Amino acid sequence: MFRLALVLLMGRSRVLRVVLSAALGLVAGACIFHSVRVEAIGSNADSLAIQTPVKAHLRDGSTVLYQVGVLLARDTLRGPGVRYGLTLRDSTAVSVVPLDSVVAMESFRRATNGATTAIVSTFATGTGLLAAGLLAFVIVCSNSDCFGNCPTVYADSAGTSALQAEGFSYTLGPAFETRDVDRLGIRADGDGRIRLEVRNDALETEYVNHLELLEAHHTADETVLPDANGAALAVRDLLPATTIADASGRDLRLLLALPDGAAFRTDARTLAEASPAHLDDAIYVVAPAPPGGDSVALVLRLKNSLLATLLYSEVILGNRGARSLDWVGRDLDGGAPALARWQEQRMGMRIAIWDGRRYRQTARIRDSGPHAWSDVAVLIPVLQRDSVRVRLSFPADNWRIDRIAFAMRARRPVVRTLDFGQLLDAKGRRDSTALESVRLADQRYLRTSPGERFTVVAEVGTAAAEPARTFLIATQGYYEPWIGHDGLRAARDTGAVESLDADLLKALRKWGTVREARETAFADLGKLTVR
Amino acid sequence: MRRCWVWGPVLALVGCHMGGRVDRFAPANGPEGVAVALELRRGGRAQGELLAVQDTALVVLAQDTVTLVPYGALETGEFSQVEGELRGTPPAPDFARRLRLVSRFPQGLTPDMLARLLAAYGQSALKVVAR
Repeated sequence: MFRLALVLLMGRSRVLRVVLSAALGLVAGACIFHSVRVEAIGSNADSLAIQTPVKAHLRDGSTVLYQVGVLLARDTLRGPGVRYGLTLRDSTAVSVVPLDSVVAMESFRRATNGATTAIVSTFATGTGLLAAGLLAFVIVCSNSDCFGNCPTVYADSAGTSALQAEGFSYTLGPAFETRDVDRLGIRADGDGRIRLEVRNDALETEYVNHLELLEAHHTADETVLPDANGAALAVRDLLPATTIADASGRDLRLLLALPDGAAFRTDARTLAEASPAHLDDAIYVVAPAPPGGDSVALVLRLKNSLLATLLYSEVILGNRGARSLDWVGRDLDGGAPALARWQEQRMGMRIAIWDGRRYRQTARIRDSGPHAWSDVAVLIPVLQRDSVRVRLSFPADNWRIDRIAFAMRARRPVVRTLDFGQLLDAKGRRDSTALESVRLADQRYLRTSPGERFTVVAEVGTAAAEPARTFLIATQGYYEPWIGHDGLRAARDTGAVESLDADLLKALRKWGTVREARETAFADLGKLTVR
Repeated sequence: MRRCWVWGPVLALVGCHMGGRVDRFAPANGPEGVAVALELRRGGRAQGELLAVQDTALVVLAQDTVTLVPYGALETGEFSQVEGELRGTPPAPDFARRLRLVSRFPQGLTPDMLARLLAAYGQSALKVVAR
């Protein structure tokens, strides 16, 4: 290797030029690092289509190799396989194997090394795939199965679990691992501890890379919120906006004045009139400029509707049916940067400021998930003497917004990072291995399956009277949804892949017809899952 | 010569992929377990196929002989296309899980399977490497 490097450095050969040119290509484009991931396939999967090699180990010691994948259909394995005897001296072709004769199975697939890819890609493109946070993995799930999107964080509140946050939403695959920061509405208990329960309430495998508690010190009249990049912002002197109106002209001031659960949703007419040229809705907000101040903070309380869930699970992946596996394995590699760019431009919420001539984008809020309300503050520079005019634009009906206000004062508070000192499994037993997996953002992940939960505990000490303190949780990871049998049945291979804008339009049209039913079902599901 | 410089942008356009591929990963393409190279504490080396991973030992097929290699008898153990190596102590849980998944019998060897395997290789007993 050293000799090769020496030759490349010293020589003026064609090889040198090609290699240097390739290096230039790496810098200009995105490079993706892979490894082969071997994973056991659980017997709890109902139906599963796998299009990568699979080995099934039978009770009698024989092995069946499915080189092009296999369909697990309820009680049988179906697909072209070769069965090898215990000693491998004989082999026969098989197409159907009863599941009750199988004692173990594993799949082999190409996995993206998220950290390495992210480092190189971020260096190369300056934007980073992680921040975009989305691409689907292996999913064709049924409608109801797709409601969950990420780990949910709960804290004890007067004897009941209160939902605090949901982490790394829409990060469907390792290449899109990202870090989220959410405000926690809790205080330390009498022993100076913070206890948080992290649940996998969805039909997915979640990979938690890092959990971190952040403690922000501030004065009693300040509220600490994460900004769009996850950095803490202490805000005070909150004022309601003088104008809040959406694209259809509705006056939203009363609806969005207080955080009361009564939330904005896109006007039905705007949603129905979505077209290739009009995929967005917008909210226009105006506040008086603070005397002498050069910035204010826009304070938002919001969460996603189920539109993004429908877009990714039912349109982008669902239309590919069984091909979604291949798409993820192959096209994802080439298409990930394009999808990331599309998301940056199209999804989430874009915040723009009127400078007297036009709106200039100043920030973008990532999609945060449909479960937990997210409180966010965005610093807004004051560009005009008399007023601050802000436009929030987003795919029609992508957001539920509970509150919009302006903070006349904002500053960066001192933030202390605290490690979780204990991780307890569902039975309350300490698990030091799992704790090590989430202590650092590294190659170790804590993997959870549907229904699993764990508790993390941090010693934060009892609070002094002043200054006040607010806790935030940082979660980093990704998840891989499971395949539900309803989804497999409903999936269809469409062959040609349309543009992502066309996919969004398709999702908007479908969403317009199902949103009432879906939101009602989702609300009912929420009542069931909050324990 | 100028054409050489084309390769960079071409790479950028098609995307660059580095690292392991499933079609080159031996356990994904055949029924065998991963290849293993062992250096024994008492001297000597052995190569073979990883049959099973147990709590205290590896079961290896080396020179057509089913062999039990206690971790304590190992100086080092390396596995083809698998990151990490053994150094005289049982593998950490995560490493053991990964090794098990690329062995020929991830489910473990039952007494009946082991008996049939020994019979197939003409052994009356399992060969055990001394510590």
